[in-house]
Amino acid sequence: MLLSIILPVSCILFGQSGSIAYITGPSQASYQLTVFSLDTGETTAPGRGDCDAYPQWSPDGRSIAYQTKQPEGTGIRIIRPEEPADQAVAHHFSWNYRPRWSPDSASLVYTSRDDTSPLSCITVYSFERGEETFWGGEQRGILSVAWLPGMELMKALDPESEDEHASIALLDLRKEAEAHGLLVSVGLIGTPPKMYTDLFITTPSLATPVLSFLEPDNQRHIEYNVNPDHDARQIAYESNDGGDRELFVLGRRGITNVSNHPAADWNPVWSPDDSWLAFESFRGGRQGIYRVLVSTGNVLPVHVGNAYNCWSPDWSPDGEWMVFVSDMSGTPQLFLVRSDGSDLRQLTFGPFPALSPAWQPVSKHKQE
Amino acid sequence: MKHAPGILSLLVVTAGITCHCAAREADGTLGLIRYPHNGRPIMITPVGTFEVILKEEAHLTLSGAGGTTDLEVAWSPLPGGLKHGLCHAIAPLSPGAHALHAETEGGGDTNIRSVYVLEAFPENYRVAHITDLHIGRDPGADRDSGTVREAIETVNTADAAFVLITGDVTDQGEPAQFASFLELLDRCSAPTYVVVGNHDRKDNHYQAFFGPSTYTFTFGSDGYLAFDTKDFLIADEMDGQNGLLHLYRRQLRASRWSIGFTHRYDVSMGMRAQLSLFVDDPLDYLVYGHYHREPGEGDGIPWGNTRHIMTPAAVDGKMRFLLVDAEGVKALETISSASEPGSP
Repeated sequence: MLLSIILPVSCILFGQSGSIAYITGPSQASYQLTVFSLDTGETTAPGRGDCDAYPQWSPDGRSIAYQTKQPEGTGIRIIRPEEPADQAVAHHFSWNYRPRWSPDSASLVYTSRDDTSPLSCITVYSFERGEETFWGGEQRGILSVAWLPGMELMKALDPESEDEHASIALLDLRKEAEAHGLLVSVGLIGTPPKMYTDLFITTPSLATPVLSFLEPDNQRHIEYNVNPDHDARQIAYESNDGGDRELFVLGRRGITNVSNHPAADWNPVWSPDDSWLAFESFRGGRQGIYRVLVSTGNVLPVHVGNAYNCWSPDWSPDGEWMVFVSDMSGTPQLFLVRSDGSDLRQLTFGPFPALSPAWQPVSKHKQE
Repeated sequence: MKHAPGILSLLVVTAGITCHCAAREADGTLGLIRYPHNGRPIMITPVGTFEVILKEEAHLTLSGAGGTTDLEVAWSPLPGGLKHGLCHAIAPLSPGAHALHAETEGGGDTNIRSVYVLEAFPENYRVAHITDLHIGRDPGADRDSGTVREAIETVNTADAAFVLITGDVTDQGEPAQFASFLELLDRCSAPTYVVVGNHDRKDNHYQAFFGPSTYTFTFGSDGYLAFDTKDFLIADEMDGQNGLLHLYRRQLRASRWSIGFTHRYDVSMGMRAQLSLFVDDPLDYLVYGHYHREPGEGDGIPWGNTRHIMTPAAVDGKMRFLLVDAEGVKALETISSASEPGSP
């Protein structure tokens, strides 16, 4: 029934241009980075096809970083769609996961580890210098990491209101951040069986747990999936604080639960104007796509089915559309929908799952 | 303690083996009937209802020691063109193993050992855990199939309520190895629940023989959740398993005991799956294999209170029984699969 109202994609109809990168293949071992052009409707497969995963567009829209298999582990590779050859990052460690771009598209950050330990550290790769540096001092057990594009959030950690030692540590952190930049990561704290996670504000030599600092009793909670907004004014993350998994936003005014529902809420993704978060929720019974207006906590459904799941939302550069994965037609495929939930269209029709979509940003120089 | 009817089941199994050529497709892959099957059967009481998934609507019957019974089916569509059927028998079913027959104008299909009827679900029962069979590892010496055959014979004499088979059922994931595994599987008188292991991953052969690796079943008031740890070093968090794990875990919330079974546990497996299963709504137990050894220091789940049960490999002649009762799930000592099981 639902399939009958799904319209075939006509890029001209909905006025979007650029490309959507995603992963497809018959099995995990042969997953391949693939790019769908919204301008031409053509699909290319520039990835290696060897456990490719997690494509990420650079903020200038020119390059895609992705994770793929390498002879002794996993490595990060870079593709510039207009160039024939891709580039492998030269890694120090064997296992390298989930690349994220710096705001200026000049560096990547990812988690890395060797064969002797499951605990990852933070690695930054500079394209200018062509080398890796390791951030966060001695901190290990990093689960995910992202760039903080500015210093605005440091104001949330007001050292004058805390004890002397904390103030000194934060001053050191601020000095180093001003010189080198700032990351936010999710990392492990504690020892089995009492492990938990925290958000870490991270510089080359320091990793300061944020929530333990702001709310010392937070140690029973497990935070995951951190995402700063585009201006570094707010960090969205998810936590089991309150029982079920909820979305929280950390900003200058403190921490706010913005999803607040007994069902689990996952994977926050900021809209291009930083006013909305798209996320996955089970509040409709199945896994569906929702959005919340962060300033009010008003949650609206984008697409929810009663017999299938939807996941991995991403926004179009103008915030008018979203792409997501759904198994509504059997095998998981990519779908487009307006962010108000109207105009659902199936984008891919391949025989294999289409996963992890990433919509190409419009570079600022192009906008100007 | 109430146990599955041994001799009756063996007779049915013997009948099942003789008609194996009619079951599934000719190469052993799943055919018209996608679920249930001998790697993911259904256990019900004589008047119970149950669900089936087929490629298309069909006339369904169940055949057991008590004869053949027609099923009334309410059909509904599933994503991808599959059909979901809610079934109930027009007469009470006889206890023991049944074959599910589906008949359409275009042909038929039979899945033996796919429905097991119990007079009642016991409160205290025994579960067999077999893992890492590696069928095809040593074909010349017949070591692999020999040890598995012995393990199944041990199960057949031990009144196990059902068997959890936690992956690496083949050594290279070749279709011929899956077909050999099926032949051995159908020697088992108890219901058998299979999940995929890292050695079973070649192309999508496992899915062709056994369907999805993420599923649940209940046995009385206990809930069991099967899942795929994926290739733990490159955990796949992109596909749809994470959502299913969350939904299935919630479905089992009311269970007396919630028991996960998978091929392996490693702290490097996908974090999202670990959040669902061990942090936000922790399973009571996790049963797994993979390591071909007894559990040792450093094994286990670092996130909380889920207890782990790890069993050495069947290819090395090892297996284990679990005792489930009001006190919990007790892992009995590992036994040589050729010997008698220890008394509970």
